[in-house]
Amino acid sequence: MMKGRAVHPRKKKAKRGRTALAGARAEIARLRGTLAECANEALRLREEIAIASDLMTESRRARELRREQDCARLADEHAHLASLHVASTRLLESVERDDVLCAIQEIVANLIGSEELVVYSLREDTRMLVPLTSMGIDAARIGDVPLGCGVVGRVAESGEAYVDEGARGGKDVGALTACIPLVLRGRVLGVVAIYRLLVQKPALEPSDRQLLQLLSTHAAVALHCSGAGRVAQLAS
Amino acid sequence: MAEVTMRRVLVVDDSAMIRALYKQALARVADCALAFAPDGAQALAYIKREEPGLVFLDVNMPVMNGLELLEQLSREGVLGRVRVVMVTTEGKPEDVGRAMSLGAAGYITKPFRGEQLLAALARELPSQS
Repeated sequence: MMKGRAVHPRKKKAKRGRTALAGARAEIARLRGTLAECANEALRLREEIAIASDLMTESRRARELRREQDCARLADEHAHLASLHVASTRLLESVERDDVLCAIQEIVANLIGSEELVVYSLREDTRMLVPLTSMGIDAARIGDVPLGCGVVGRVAESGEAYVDEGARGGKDVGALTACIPLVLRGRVLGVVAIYRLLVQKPALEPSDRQLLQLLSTHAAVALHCSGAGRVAQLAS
Repeated sequence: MAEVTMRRVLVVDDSAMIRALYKQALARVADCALAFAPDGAQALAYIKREEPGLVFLDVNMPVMNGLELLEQLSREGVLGRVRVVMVTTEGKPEDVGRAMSLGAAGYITKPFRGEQLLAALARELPSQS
C-alpha cells in the first residue's frame, strides 16, 4: 500500500494566505472601480448642480432685469402722462389769446424741445395763413403763407400733420421739424410750425408725437375760445 | 417712531406748467417739501429766509434770471449750504460751463424727465431718514 506524501502545514498556510491575498487584491480593485464610479457620479452631480444653480441665478437676474425694465417703463409712462396732463391743463386754463400763444410756446420749448416756432391763423376769406406769434425765428423769414403753398400751406389745406422723422437736435437751421394743424371739429383754424430742435434733443420720440397731437386739438380749442380768429381778421 | 427730516427744495421757474411738472415728478418723494418761486428775485428772498437744501433753477426768467441769481448766491457765500441744480433749455457746452464755474452743483437740460430730478435730489440732498 502506497503511503501519500503529507503536505507540510506551513505550506498549506502559505497557500491559504496567497489565496486570501489575491482575493483581497481583487476586492480592492473592485472597490477602487466602485470608488472611481462614485467619483464620476459625484462630478456629474456637481456639474448638474452648477447648471441648475446657474439657471436659477440666470432666472433671478432675468426677473430682476424684467422688474427694472418694468419700473423704467412705468416711470416713462408716468412722466409722459404728467407732461400730457400739465400741457392740457396749461392750454385749457388759458383764456386770453396771448396766454394761449404763450402756452403753445412753453409746451414746444419745455416739453417737446424746440425754441423755434411760428403759429399761424388761417384766414378763410383770403385763404392765407397769417402769423400770430413766433419764437426764435428771424422776423424776415416770417410772412403770410398762401393755403396749399409749401409744407405749412399744405398742412393747413389737408389738415394732416407733417413730421420730419429724420430731424435731429441742433442741426439744419431753418429746417422744419414738424407742422401741426390746429383742428376744431374737422376745421383747420391755423398751424404750428416747429423748426430746429434744441441741441440736447436728439430726435422726436413717440411721446412727443402724442404731445403734438394734443397741441393740435387742445390749442385749437383754446385759440378758438380766446377769439384768435377774430383777432387775425382785425389784424389784416 | 423715527422722526422724518424733511428735505426742503425750492423750484425756481417762471412757467406754471413747469412748476406743475415738478410737483408731479417729486410728489412720490415723501420726505421732500417743495416751495416755488417764479423769478430770481423772489427766489433770492426765499433762499435768504429759509435756506433750502436744494434749488432747481431755471435760467431764462423775468426780473432776475437764473445765472444772475447764481452769481448773487455765490457772492454771498450761500452756495456752500444751498446746492443749486440748473434746469434749462440752454444746453450748449458754454452755457453748462458758465453755470458750473459760477458754482452750480448740477445741470439738467429741458425737456427733462422726472427721473433726472429724482437722481439730482438723491445726489445733492440725500434723504436723512
